[in-house]
Amino acid sequence: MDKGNFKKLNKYHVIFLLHCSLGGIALFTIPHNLSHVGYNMWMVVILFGIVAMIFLKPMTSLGSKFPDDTLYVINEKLTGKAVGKLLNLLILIYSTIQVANTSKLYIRLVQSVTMPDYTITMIAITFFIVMIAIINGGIKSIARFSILSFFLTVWMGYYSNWAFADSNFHHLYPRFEHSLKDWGHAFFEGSQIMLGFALIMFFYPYIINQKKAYKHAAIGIWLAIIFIGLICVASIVYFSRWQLENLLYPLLNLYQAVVLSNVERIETLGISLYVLLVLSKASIYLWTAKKGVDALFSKHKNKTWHLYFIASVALFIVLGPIPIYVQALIYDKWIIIAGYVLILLPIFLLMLYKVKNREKRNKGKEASAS
Amino acid sequence: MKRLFSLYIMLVLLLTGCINDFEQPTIENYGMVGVMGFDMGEEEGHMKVTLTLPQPEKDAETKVQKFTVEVESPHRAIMEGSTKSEKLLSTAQLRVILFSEEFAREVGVWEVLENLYRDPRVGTNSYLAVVGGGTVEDLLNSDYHDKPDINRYLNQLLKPSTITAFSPFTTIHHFIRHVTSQVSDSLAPYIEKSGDSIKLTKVALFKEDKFISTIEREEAKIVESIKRNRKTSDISYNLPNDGENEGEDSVIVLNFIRSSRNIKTNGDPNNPEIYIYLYITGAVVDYTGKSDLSVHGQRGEVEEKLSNAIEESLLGSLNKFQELRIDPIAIGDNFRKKDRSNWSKEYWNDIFQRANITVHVEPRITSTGTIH
Repeated sequence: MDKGNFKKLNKYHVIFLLHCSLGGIALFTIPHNLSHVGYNMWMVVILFGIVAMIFLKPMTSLGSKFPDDTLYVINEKLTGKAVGKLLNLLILIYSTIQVANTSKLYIRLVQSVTMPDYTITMIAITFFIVMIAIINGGIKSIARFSILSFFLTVWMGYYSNWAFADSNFHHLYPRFEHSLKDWGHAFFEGSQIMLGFALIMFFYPYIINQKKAYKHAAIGIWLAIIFIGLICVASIVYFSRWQLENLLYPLLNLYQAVVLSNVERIETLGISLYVLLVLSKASIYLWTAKKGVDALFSKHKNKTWHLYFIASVALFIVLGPIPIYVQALIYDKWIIIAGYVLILLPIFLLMLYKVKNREKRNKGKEASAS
Repeated sequence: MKRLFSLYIMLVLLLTGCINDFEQPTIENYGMVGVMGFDMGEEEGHMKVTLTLPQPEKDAETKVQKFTVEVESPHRAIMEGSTKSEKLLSTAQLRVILFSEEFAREVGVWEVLENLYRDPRVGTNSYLAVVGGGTVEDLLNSDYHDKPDINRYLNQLLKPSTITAFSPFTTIHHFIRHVTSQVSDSLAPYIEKSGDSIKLTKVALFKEDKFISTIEREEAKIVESIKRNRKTSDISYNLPNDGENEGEDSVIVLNFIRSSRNIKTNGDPNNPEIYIYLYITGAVVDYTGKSDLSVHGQRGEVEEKLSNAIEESLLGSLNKFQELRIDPIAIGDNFRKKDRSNWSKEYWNDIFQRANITVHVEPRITSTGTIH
C-alpha cells in the first residue's frame, strides 16, 4: 500500500491509468447508451474526448499548485476543515458507488451470459478479492495491472474485422436528424465512459513528471477514445437502429459475429478477458474510496483495514437488497450528475485558490507597509 | 495485514453459506438442441416446435433425438422437451432454425426470433430457412440414409459455400437487422425435401417478418451480386438466337465470377431515379452457341447477349420487388444520403415503388478455358 506521498508513477503508468479509468464495463454498453442519436453516435464519442481534454486542464493546474496533495487534502486546505470533510465524504460515497456500479454491471453480465445457472454471490466475492489483492500493492500496482490489462485485451480489437466484413458503411454518413434533446440524452447517458479521467486528481501527487502530466493524461484519454470509437463504428455499421436501441450489450453481439474454425462463441472469451479492464477501473475507484476513508477517519494516514472496510461496503451495495428503482436512480442518474460535479470541482477550487492567494498577498503588502 | 486478509476471505466464504443453491448440472447432463423447427399449431396462438439433438446413447437406433411439442413460445418448447428427454435441453448449440412456409406466411417469424435473440445462450450466427412443400416436422422426421445426423447436415447445407452463393445465408442477426432496418427487407434460404436429400431450391422474400414470395436461384445470384461487391457462384444463362441452328438458344456457364456494383440515385422523392451498374467477370466453362469465343468481335457479341439476358433478369427481379414494396438489396441507403426527409421504411417503400430503374450490366469473359 502507498506509504507517504513519494513519486512513483512514470509516464506509462499515467497513460494507462487514464486509459483504464475511462471505458471499463461501459465498453459493453456504450453503443446502446448513445443510441438516442442513432448512427451519429461516433460524433458523441469525439465530443467526449474534447470535453475530457478541456476539463483535464484545470485538474492538472490544481495539481501543480498542490504537487504533494490528493484532492482530499486540497479540499480541506482550500475550503476549510468542515466543508472539506463534507466534500470528501461526498467523494467517498461517489467512489464507493462507482466501484459497486462498475462491478455489478460486469458481474451481472458474467452471470447472465457465461454462468447463467449461478447466482452472483460467489462471482462478486471472487471479483472483490482480486480487486483487494491489486490495491494492496498501492497505486503503482494498479497502474501496472492497467498496463497488463491493456495489452492482454487490445488484441480482441482484431475480432471487429468480422463486423466490418458484414457491414453497411452508409450508416456512418452523418445525418443530423436528431433534436438537441436527443443529443443531450446520448451525451448524458454515455458520460459514464468519460467521467473516470477525474481520478487523476487523486493520484496526481504520485506522478514523477508532473510537468508533463497533462500530455500523458491526454494520450491516455485519446487512446481510450480511439478504442471506444472503434467499438461504436463497428456497431454503427453492423447493427440496425433498432438493434442499437434494444441490445443491452452490443459488444457481445459484435463478438458473436466472429466465425473461427477452431473456436466457437468467442464472446465468452471476450467477457472473461474484459474482467481485466473492469478490474482496473474498479480498482482505481476503490483505491480512491480507500484514500477517502483515510482522509476522514485517520487524518490521511494509511490504514490497510480501511480498504477491507470500504470493499465490504461496496460488496454489500452489489449484493444487498436495494430496490431496482433506487438502483436505477443511483446508477443511471445520480452517479453521472455527481461525476460532472467532480470534474467541475477543480475549477471552483482554482478560483478559491486565487482568491485566497490574493488575500494573502494583500495581507502581506499591508503587513510590509505597516 | 495477512491476518486481516485471511479474516476477510473467511467472512465472505462464510457468507456464502446463505446461498440457497442447488446442484448444478454438468456438461454431460445437457442435451444440446441443434435444430428448432416451427410449424402452425393446432390451437390458436400455439406453435408446433420440433427439436433435434445429437443422440447421447451409443446403442440407440438413431443418431438424433427428436421431440415435437405444441407450445406458445420457443423456450417453452425447450422446457417441454426436457420433460421428454433424459437430458436437460439447452439452446447453447442451436445452429439452425426452420419455419414452415405456412407459419412464416401466416404468423410471421418475429416473435420466435426476438425471443431467441433475447437469450444470450443462443448464438446470433444460427442460420434460418423457410421450408417449402410440407411441414418442418415432416422434413426433420424423414430419413436421409446417407446423412444420418440431421443437425450436422442442415448446418452444413446452410453454411456459405461457393456453389450455393446465390443463397442469402441468413442468420438471426441478419434477419433482425433487415427487419428492423429503415431501408431493407430480409431474404432467407428456401429449402425443400427432394428424395433422399434436402435441397436449397429458391430464396424466400419477406415483407416485415412475413414470408410473401420466392425468387429463383439464377435471379438470386444476381441479386446477391448487387447487394455488395463479392465473389458469387457460377451463373448459367440461355442466350436467345445464339444456338448452332437458326432461332435456337445457346447455353453459357461462367465460373470464378467476381462482381462489382455501383448504385446511384437522384435523391428526388417526387421523381425517383435509380441507376444500377453491375460488372461481372468470369471464365467460360460451358458454351453451346455458334460464336468462336477466341475471336475478339464474336466474344463481344456473346458478352452483349449475356448482358441483355442478365439485365432482363435483374430488371424482372427489381420490378417484382417494386410490386411487393420490398427492398432486399438496400438500395434505399444510397437514396437516403441525398434525402433529408423524415425517413421510415414505409416512406422508402413508397418511393421505391415509383422509382424509375435503369440497369446496366457489363459481363467480361476473361478466359475460355483450355480450348477456343
